[in-house]
Amino acid sequence: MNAFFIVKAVFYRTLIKLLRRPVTLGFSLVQPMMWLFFFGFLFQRFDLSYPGIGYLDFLLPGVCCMTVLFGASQSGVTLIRDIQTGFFSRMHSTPASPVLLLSGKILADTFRLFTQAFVVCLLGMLVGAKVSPDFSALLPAIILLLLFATAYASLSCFIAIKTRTPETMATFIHVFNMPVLFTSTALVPVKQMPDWLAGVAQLNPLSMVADQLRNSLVLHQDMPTLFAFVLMITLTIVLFSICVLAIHKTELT
Amino acid sequence: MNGNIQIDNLCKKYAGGIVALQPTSVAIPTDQAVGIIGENGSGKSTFIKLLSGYLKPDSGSVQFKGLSPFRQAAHFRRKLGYLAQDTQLDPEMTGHETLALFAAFYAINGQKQKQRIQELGKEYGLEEHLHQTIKRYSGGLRQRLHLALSLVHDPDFLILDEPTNALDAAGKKMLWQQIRRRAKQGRTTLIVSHDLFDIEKHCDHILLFHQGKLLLEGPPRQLVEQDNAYRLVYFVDGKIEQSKLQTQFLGLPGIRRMDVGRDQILFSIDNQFEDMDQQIQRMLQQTGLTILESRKRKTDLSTLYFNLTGSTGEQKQKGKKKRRNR
Repeated sequence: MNAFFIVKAVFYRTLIKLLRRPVTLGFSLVQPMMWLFFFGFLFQRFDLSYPGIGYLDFLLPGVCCMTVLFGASQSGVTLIRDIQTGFFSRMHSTPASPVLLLSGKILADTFRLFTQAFVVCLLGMLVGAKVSPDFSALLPAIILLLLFATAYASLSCFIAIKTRTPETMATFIHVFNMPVLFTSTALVPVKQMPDWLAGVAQLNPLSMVADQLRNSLVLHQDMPTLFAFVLMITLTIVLFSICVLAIHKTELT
Repeated sequence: MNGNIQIDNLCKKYAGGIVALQPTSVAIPTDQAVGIIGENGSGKSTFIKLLSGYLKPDSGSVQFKGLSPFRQAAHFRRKLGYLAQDTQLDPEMTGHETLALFAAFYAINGQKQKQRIQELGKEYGLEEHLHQTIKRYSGGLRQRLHLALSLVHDPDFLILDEPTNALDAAGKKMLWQQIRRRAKQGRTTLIVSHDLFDIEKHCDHILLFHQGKLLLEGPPRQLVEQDNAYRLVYFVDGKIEQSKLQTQFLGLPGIRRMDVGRDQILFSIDNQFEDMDQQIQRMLQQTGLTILESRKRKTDLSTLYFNLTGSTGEQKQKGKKKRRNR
């Protein structure tokens, strides 16, 4: 029972810290909107071969996923600050298990990322993207998005625990995010890619999430979800576990 | 007394083979206030980090009431309160939020949590500041909050690393009262401090570290008496030539140590040489120094410390304070 209260306390702490930085929060919405504007209007005449669907409509679910990707990759930054100030080791010196400390933090980050993605979706609709949600397909798509956010935030936290420097985190964000984004179907459909890239894109977890979300909001095609679920659950468990192990093995003083 | 904190062969090396703590075995009495002293880098902080389970030792073991900080970490941590010297609070949180967060870690929730935060706020003079963000706190208020956090679960075993840092006189008084109260309640408090006067006054037992080694341990009064020495302090006017004085005085029978400050000279002398004062005064005057004041004192913890470690920082500070107060 106390596990719930510990997770809740860390969850609450993570969110109030975020709300006390409204400028950071605001900027996190500006970036996806810029992508939506620049890419959306730049490739307005891009031939998608989906009748009745414009590039902006196609792009919006991808930008929502991109918001989650970029936001999740920064999850470790606040952890580094806690490690550097000794606040994390102070929390770690209590009976609260690192699993619960991390769970509270990553759950709060996931909640924030989902909210951001939702706001980006609404803003996208305001600037002209057409969306017609299929709610039966939307629920699994959202679950996949949440799993992806959790997995990627765990990876970011793992890097933070191992490196403990904001500079390395910045490198991680650039080195990982760009290949993940540009080898996915977040911005371009797989059929428009060269064969080798199409192969990579189909195995990219971001593509799986973007495709499911796009399907539920825009395309409405039949799409298998089992493989995506198995992969995303496995990825989440593995990345979260190595993050917890890293805390156990490290002296955080 | 309910037993000891049993430490066997505890040893820690840092990267590069730097020995932070040489193999140390000691039984620290529980249910007391225990002072840990030593100069910077003497190994005392490493020692308490090992005791609290913050650091993992290269070898050795620690047992507190049947619990090991390494093997039964979660159980041990429920009994432990730890104020580390180098940790910071989260400036974006309020005092109340910080206390609530840590209370939740110790399964103190709901009404019990509210009540405990109120108690701590009152006890540590934080009541009016609990709902302000910590970035607005003064250094003293932050330290009070640190202390309140260490005590949020009312632990059996409390470790405080430099707890008097940034505290004003009232804060220090409150802290020592709290530590004495805990000892009366049968709870153990380990205090790392450079404030030897307070350690001697308030602690039941001390551990003295020097160059990564436990040099001495025991009740402070007993250790001081065993030292079998007294000290003479001379406040002087004139140019002090240290090397000249050393040649003159260190060969004299009974003089164990001499320490020279900016305007004072301290001698540590064996108890059996009782009448050294006149002789020393005469010799100092012969070197051209005018003696403004002389004091004879029994050996105290700071003298003992200075005799054993050769460290003089605290001694000089005390001397300056006294001169100002005269």
